[in-house]
Amino acid sequence: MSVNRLLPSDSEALRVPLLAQGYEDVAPWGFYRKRKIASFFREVNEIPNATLAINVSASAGWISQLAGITNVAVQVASGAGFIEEAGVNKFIATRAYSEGYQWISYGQIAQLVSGVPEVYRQDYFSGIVSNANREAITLLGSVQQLTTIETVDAASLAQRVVIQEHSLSTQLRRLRKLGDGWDGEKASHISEETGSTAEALIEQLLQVSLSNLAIPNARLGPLPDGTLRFECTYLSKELFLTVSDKTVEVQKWQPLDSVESLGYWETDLQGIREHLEWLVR
Amino acid sequence: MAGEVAPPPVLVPTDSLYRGINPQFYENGVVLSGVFCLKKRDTLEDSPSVGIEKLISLDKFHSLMGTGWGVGQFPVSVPKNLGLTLHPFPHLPWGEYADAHALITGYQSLGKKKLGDVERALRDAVRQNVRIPPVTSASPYASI
Repeated sequence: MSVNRLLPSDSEALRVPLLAQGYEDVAPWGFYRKRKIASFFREVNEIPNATLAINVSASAGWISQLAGITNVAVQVASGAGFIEEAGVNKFIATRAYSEGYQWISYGQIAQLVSGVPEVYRQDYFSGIVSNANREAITLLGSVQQLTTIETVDAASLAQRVVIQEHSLSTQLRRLRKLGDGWDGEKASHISEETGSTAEALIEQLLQVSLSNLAIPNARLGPLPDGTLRFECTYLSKELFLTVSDKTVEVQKWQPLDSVESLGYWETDLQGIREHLEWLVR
Repeated sequence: MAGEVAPPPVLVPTDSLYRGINPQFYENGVVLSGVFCLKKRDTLEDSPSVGIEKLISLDKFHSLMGTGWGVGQFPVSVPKNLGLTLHPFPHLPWGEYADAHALITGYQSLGKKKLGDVERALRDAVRQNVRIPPVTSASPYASI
């Protein structure tokens, strides 16, 4: 695989030549300033082939995990002249890039991850992701958001989010297999509907974590009446989400050592987001 | 004297209670609120059972639990301060330790919000003093 020589080889801020010509408002030099992105590219360039299936798991590298969770397909720069157009908050055309990638199902097998920097302009850059679906945009957001993400170490955050999502999903799969009487007494099994709601709730938790750059500590356990309860903490807050078929009971506490909760609500999946947002803000 | 029924034990706030921890309620080394699942419709027999520490040893209490179960310990003052009642309730399958058995009751009249508060407070009490951690790979089924 060819390696674009524009890619920085170390993590320091580097000046790189701007290939695009004819952009009057584009400075001839741009700063490629983001340490993690530089690291990202360097690691990407070590992938020997342009297409590589990667199993998403806690032990995989963070790049594959990031791809698995966001369906990001960032492509390999296979030659010069790849810069076509650029703009803030806008993804760049891909015709100069390698072909043959395909989108993958959420949380399944990750498609190739590779990277390419786009046009550099003074004070910002754009086009880190050449193609992305909704989840990827949620993660990467606008250029300004991207800058923020990098400040708090997007790599580490994405890795922890993926690990948590993986852990919760694994736990849920296990709990869905419990039969009646799993507590040795009269406990009910987990209904299909309860399991599906919990699955969707895990996805919401994931999205809220990424969009707020905050990862609550979430644990999932069964209750003898066949419901499932997420116990989520973040800083001084705790949130119980108890799933029963399509209904979700919400209860929250702040600070952690308080006995009396702030309130109790019964809602559905659509109503959960505001409570998750409360937790991580 | 033969045939004499022992009076129920008198419990003071400084006494301690044991609570069995089903491995299903122990996730990544942390006790979950399922360890005390309280429902308004619970009958007396459905109420959470505990062991009275001064009447049964930790090892003996643990041996009465299912394989893989753990044991947490907390003071009598915790349920008392939550407005609950500790109800000594001899449990014959415990044999000579039957009188060491008690039930936590008094929550059936509470609303859902308060029930959640109590479940969480009891979870926190057990979480603070896990004497024997559950073995999470073991069967969750209890022997009692």
